[in-house]
Amino acid sequence: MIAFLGYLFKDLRHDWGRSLLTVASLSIMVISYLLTAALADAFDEFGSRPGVISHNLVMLAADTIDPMQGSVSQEAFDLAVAAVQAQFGPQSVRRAEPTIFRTLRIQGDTMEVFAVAPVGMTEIYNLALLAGRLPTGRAEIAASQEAVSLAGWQVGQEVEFYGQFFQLVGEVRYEAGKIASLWMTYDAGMALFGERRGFQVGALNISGELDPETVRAYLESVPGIRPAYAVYLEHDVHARYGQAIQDLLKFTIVMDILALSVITFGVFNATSLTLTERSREIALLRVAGFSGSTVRRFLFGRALVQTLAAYLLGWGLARLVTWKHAASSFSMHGMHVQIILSPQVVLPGLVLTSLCAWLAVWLTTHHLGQRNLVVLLNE
Amino acid sequence: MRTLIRYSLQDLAAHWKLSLAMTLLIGASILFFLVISGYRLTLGREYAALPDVNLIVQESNTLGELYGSRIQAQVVEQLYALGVSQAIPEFHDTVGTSVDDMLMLRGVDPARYQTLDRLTLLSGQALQPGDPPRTAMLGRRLAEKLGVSAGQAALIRGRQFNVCGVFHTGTYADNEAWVSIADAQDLLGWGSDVSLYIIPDEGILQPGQSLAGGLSVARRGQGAYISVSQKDPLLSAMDIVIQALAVAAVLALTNTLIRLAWLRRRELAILRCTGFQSGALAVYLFSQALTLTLGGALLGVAGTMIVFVFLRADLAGMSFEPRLDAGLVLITLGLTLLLSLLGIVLPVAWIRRLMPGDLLRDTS
Repeated sequence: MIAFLGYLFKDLRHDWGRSLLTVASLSIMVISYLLTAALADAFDEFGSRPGVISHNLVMLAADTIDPMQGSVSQEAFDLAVAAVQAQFGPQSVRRAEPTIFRTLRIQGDTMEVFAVAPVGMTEIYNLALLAGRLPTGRAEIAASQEAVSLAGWQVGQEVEFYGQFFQLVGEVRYEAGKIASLWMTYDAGMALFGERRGFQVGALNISGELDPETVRAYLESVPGIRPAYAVYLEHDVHARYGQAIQDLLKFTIVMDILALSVITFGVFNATSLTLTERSREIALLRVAGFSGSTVRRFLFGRALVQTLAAYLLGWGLARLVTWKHAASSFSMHGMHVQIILSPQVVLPGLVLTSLCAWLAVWLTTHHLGQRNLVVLLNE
Repeated sequence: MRTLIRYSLQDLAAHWKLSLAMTLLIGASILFFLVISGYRLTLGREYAALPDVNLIVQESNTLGELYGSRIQAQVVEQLYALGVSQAIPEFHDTVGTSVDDMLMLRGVDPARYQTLDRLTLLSGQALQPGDPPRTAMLGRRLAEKLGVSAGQAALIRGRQFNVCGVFHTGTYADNEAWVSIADAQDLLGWGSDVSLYIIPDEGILQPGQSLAGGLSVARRGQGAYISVSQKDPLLSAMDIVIQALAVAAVLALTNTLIRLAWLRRRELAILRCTGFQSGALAVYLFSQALTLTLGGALLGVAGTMIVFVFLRADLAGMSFEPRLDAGLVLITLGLTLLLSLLGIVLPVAWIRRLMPGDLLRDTS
């Protein structure tokens, strides 16, 4: 084994110029692969993350994609609360709050705006305060950490939207949400958007002992709820955003496969070159008694060393790109996309590229055992 | 010269597996470039070119030309009071409960919409004043998606609409169903509310200006562009990958050419000794490089066409058909030439340094 490795490294060192060129070109292919894999991973995570499983049900106008497209009447909301209490007991609804909802473009980014009574912010939406305080006045808002990060805001500054200035009084974490959000009191929402369109979301926090899906299914069977309204589990509403990026995910996966195929062809190319250059030496090894599989193992070892060196170099360079390049961190539809080279991205890539090296060696050497040695030597 | 080129191509043919791997590598890189560029090109063609001479008045901070803006009909009086000469109402919303069954609905003023948008009627007749209620005109892509044609019925939000015609605009509007504004208001239960008013740019109101009641003015056609331009950062991130792949392709090509030349060093030395200058040997390498990159470009173009057939894009209900155009193919050929030139720089420099006599001695 030691002799095998010694011979392998001696061969690489002897051929250092071309080995370096091979490693350099492979490492750049690895960068391409790692970046596309990290992008696909970011979209996949956004699309599949269920958010925090809460005991909240949300009542929306039926046949809408964005809750802001419809309204919920106070009568229907009261009916829903009463129906749940009648069916599951008076303690089954812990809290019910109407919520004004809008999806707006604020400072170039898409943000969700929630207007709900302060008690609803904590007891229904489970907002965790990260800095400052929750809004109480009509000209105050709190922003989710995603919104603060996207817009570059700081607690205490003024924020303008919908023709009005607000003071940003707090930064919050909204676990169930997937995109940037702003929070204000229900009164502030009514004053800003007017009373004409009422509220868009009827939010019910139900008892932890009840199965939310059972309550949801029951509510949808209550006369007066359907067909005008639909009831969702809170995390299902947010999961619908994942649908909007399904095509982007498909797109990045195709790009990722392409980048991986580039690596495969690159490794195949490098191995073929080695085999072509060393056809005489390989024939001599075979004449000296080395079997086809031993020669193949040697070539695989050589390709693997080059591939691993390229992977390591490519990983380092890709880290540099994600650290320094502005394009590696961006916002899209209110979500913050950060290209991160996580172990889930790097390790499968390492396994796949090693497999590519094996495949390339096998493709170029599988006939080696059957070749006539005289023909090999004459070549 | 011809002999040299023939000899160089014979050398490639003798190492066909190697040549094939190199061609595939370049092809995959070009495919990557073409797919990204094709998407960008189509987005530009269908969305970026839309802003027109008119302005719109919509609910602030919304993309009213898609959905989300809802204003009272009385706004028209506010606009006339400001001196605006004409205000045409329009209705924009989506129906459906998921991206899969989403349908974009536009309510238009049947008497005036044809003065605002240029469209080609593909079949049937255009929506016009006096049409019976529940009459719709469908964009080409929507008609294809629903599998209906003029004269048939289409279900919009559970109601049957008679399709009077199918139109084509070459923009995202080809995904929309156009109905009379009264039908749209009735369908969504909006009363007399509309999404926006289209007004001429007479200098009275400016894009970006805010009006009382949470209204703002924007250039018409920018809503869809803003929505789609949110994908720009993704394409910019992909640009890094394209640049990296271009460098990788040049390095791999350089590596291959140097090694092929090394395998033929004896023959190249003989050519030098028989009077061929190093410039002529550059032709030898360039013809090899160009063959490999042109082969890669052909594979890339063919692969892109296949990818575009199977990977039709749908951005939140707005489908678009990415495709290649002659300009992009020409750019690809230019890049192919550039790749070939860059790929032979090192091998040519290496050949120039070689002493033919030494080589012949070494290889004899």
